[in-house]
Amino acid sequence: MAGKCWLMVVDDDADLRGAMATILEGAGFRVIEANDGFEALQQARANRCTCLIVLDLYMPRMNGWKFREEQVKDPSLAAIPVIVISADADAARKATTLGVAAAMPKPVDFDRFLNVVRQYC
Amino acid sequence: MRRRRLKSPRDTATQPRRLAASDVASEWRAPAAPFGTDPAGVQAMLAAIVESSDDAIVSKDLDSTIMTWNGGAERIFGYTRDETIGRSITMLLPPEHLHEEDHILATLRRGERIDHFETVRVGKDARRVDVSISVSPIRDAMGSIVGAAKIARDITERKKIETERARLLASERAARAEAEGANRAKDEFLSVVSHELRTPLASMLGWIRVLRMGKEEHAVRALNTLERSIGVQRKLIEDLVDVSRIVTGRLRLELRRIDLRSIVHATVEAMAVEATTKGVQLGAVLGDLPAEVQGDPERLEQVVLNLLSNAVKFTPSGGRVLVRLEAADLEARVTVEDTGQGLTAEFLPHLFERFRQAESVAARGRESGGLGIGLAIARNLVELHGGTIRAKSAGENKGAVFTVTLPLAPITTPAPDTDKGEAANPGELDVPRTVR
Repeated sequence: MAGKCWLMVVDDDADLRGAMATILEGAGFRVIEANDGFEALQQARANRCTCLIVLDLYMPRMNGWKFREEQVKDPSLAAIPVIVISADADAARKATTLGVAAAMPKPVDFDRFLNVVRQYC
Repeated sequence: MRRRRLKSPRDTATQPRRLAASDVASEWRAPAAPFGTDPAGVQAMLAAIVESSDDAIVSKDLDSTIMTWNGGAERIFGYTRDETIGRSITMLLPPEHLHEEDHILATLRRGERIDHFETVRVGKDARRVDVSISVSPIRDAMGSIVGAAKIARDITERKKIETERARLLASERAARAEAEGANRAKDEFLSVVSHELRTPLASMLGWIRVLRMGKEEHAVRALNTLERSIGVQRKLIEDLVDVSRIVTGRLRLELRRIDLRSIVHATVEAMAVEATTKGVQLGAVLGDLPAEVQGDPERLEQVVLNLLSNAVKFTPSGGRVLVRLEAADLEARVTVEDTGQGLTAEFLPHLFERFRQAESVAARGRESGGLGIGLAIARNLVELHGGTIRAKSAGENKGAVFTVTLPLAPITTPAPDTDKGEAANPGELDVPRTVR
């Protein structure tokens, strides 16, 4: 079961983000939400313990690629594992360039998703 | 081997045997007949060969004066010997090629040849002739350069074939590039469609999973989200169906006389909540007088709603969107102006293209959502109403102005037997296959 660290869901689609947060909370995880990469950076820097970041790729203001670029530059955030979730049919290939822990397509297979999440939080 | 000066026919008439026959006689074995083997016979035969050549064989002195002119030259350029001998060779040069003669003479004076120089000359009938010319210096008995022998081959037909081949090649390349571009745009479009259909689906499946958790406190939000996501998908599917109808020419309008004020008012009402939620100030100036057009109310509402929702979507919080309706000069004009992110000069010409917009959505990273075909549909709908749609923007982050014009409906006369004309007849209009 989840520890005391937080799991961050970063997606500009508030409906999907809300569903994921509710499902994760129902599974016992502590969840924080961010609307885009910029907000995610702020949240991650403010939060001392983030066990995993669930990251969408296409977002306004700061997309997933830019967020990842900023994350790895910041020593305090670089080690946090990231799972990319995207509706892009080519998401898995695009995610390989980001050096993330996993990439999953939308719509998400939640059973598989929860299994992956449990490896990190 | 020593070369001798090539004489003009006038010269050879008096001194017929000086034409370099001795130069070639030792190497060339003449047939027995009809000229025999004596130098005079050989020279006569060489003269006959020159005369019968299809190529123009001409000699000139270092002042460019023509000295000899064969039958080939007559056929190619149309001038007889009498019309050319004694005149300057520049009579054959078009004005824009006159400089070539200086270059040719300079080359000859250095004792060098010119081989297969492709250029243009002018015939007697002013016809341009594409020629390939080779020029060799003629030397006198002392070895001094005294003139030039020039062979010109008519390559007009070859040039025509080359030009036609180049044109076909360019045309084939352009067609291929266009087809590849269209293919790429369609691929991008399909990718965007896939992305946009998956997004609400992901949300729906998520909230169904939440509902299965059986906690009542989530039910209202789950149902609201499901309803909203289904609405988003329905809109996407309707847009796709519209595009399909436009492509196949099956888009139909239900025309009737309507006041555009009601259309614009309804769309502003429909967008009010979204604009307020986003912090965008939405205003409308509708005027006091009716702006009546022959139109399909649902389709015109679709057009104005598309422009308004784009304006709100691309205008950040604190910005303004203003809709204005005017009726003047036989047309109604709806203007949607925003203070949003604007349009680049590069993208502006492609704004209303069906797949280009989607391509751009893909290129920008789909950060704004949507299929990006709304404006293409809007343009088709406006054009089917006999109107126009235009966009302008001062550039990125400088806002945008979209203007739709529609022909005002004619003023109806009260007489019952008056010919109302096609435009005044409400009902279904079969729209012909649309362009693009």
